[in-house]
Amino acid sequence: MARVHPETGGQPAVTTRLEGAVRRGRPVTILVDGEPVGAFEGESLAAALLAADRRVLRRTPRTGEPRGVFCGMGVCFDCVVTVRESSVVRSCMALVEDGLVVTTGRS
Amino acid sequence: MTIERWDLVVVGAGPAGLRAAIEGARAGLSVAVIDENARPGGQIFRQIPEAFGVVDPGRLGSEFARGQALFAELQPLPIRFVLNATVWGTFEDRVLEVAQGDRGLRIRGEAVVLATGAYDRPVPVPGWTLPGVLTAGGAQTLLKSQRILPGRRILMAGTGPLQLVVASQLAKAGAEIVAVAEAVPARALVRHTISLLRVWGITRDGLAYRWTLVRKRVPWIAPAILVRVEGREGAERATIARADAEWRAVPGTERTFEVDTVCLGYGLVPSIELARLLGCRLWFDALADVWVPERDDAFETTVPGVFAVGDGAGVAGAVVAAEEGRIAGLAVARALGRLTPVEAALRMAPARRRLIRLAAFRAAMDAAYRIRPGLQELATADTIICRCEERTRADLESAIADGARRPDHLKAWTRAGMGPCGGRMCGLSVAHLLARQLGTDMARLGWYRARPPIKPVPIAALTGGPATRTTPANAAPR
Repeated sequence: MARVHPETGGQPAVTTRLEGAVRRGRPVTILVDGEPVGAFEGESLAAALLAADRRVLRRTPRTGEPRGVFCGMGVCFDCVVTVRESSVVRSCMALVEDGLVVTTGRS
Repeated sequence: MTIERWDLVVVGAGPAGLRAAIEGARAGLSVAVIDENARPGGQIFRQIPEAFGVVDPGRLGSEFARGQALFAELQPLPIRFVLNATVWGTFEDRVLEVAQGDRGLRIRGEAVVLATGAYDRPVPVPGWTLPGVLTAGGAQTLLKSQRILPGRRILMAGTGPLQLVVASQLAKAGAEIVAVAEAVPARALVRHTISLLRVWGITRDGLAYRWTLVRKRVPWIAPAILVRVEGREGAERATIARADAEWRAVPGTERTFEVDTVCLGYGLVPSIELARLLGCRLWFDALADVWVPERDDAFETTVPGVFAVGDGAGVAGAVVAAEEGRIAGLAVARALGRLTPVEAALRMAPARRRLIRLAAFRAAMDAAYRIRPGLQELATADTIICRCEERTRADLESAIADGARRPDHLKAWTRAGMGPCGGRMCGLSVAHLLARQLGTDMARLGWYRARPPIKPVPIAALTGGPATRTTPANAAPR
């Protein structure tokens, strides 16, 4: 089960894509905070970001604490990120697109 | 904006909503179904993305097959699906205001069936806002639909059937489940043996899930409850303790596990926001610790023409949800003259029989896994209660000390419940805090007042025009 993830320098990622049951869509690249991140068509932004070991998706405005995916089904709004520099979306509900520019609030 | 008009408008494309739509369409009603997701199915029959292909359906579980059968029934029916769409408000009789991306739609149903489903109960426990702490339902969604294993070393904490199912699915997919902390001891089920045997199919599924965990040597710790999660940028350690009968941690029994992920699965909360906005009368189900709409025997709410079915009207699982949806769909067809009362009664009869058979099981589950008060006492003074507005238990308690007496007071004074989740994450916890401090009960306190939009929507969907470029909310000034 342990798969070496290319984006974590050989360290196993916390989140892994499972192989076998499905064939993912074609490979795409999204730009996350300026860095290219590989993903597959059909994946949610949350899934793609988690699989790239990016669990911190934003920091809260008051105390700056890290937040990530919590409810996973569009209810809590904790996993919001900015796409195309203009729209705030729930990463668990939005899908990846080739070349999509994603800005997290994690820094 | 023009108003789309339909005989039946269904909100929510899970088992309850789809069954209502199918029965309505078969009886000759014009039907529209609105759902937030890209594909119908709801959480239980959540499909894999359209861009994915199925290689091995066997590995996608029995629910996948059941979902496929349901979708096949939909195929020949002329049902309009409004997907990726959020119902955010209503201002005129049975006209729903819908946002589909940047587009606004107005959809009117002669009858409206609410099949809005449920979400995992938010449980404010120290560390629950850390990345890597997610709900059992969220973990299952990532696994089921995205085929992603959300963690490598996972602690599950919760109660009831969903936690068991998710633990088993994660273990099967290869995660190391360091422990399942179940708040209810197994002996609580023993007195319900007869009810469990009467629905042998469901009980057998449960035993199969449990057997998977035994086979995978997953430690099952019961009765136990999550006490805290710690870590810097994400979950690193989780501590559980033995739970007493009221789910309070027994001092001196703490055990800490090294983890990267914690799943919270303390049952589900019905999504009642739309029912509240439509003016349906609600009642507080103290056993399940949730608000649910009042309904008659055809699942019509106190607002004529508005029905509520499935987990969104009281959590009982997919089988009950489908039967409720069926009855409501037939009731709408009867009300609109597409079925005679006799035809409708004949078609409803099998569904009613199945519901009666399931009722004892449902009552047994509700009793065995009823939410105990200790769950709402896990938060310490500096634990976040309102995730959106970052309000802690101490913040809320000081407002109560200053005279806040209702959830709406706390909302106005502290902003708890004003954030994008619309109070779904903190509403019950805030009311519990009030109830405890004031020595009153939940039923008397009520919930935050429902106001549109019940979910955030892009401004363009309200104005009908294209979005103008704006500065991102989290961008630094240039």
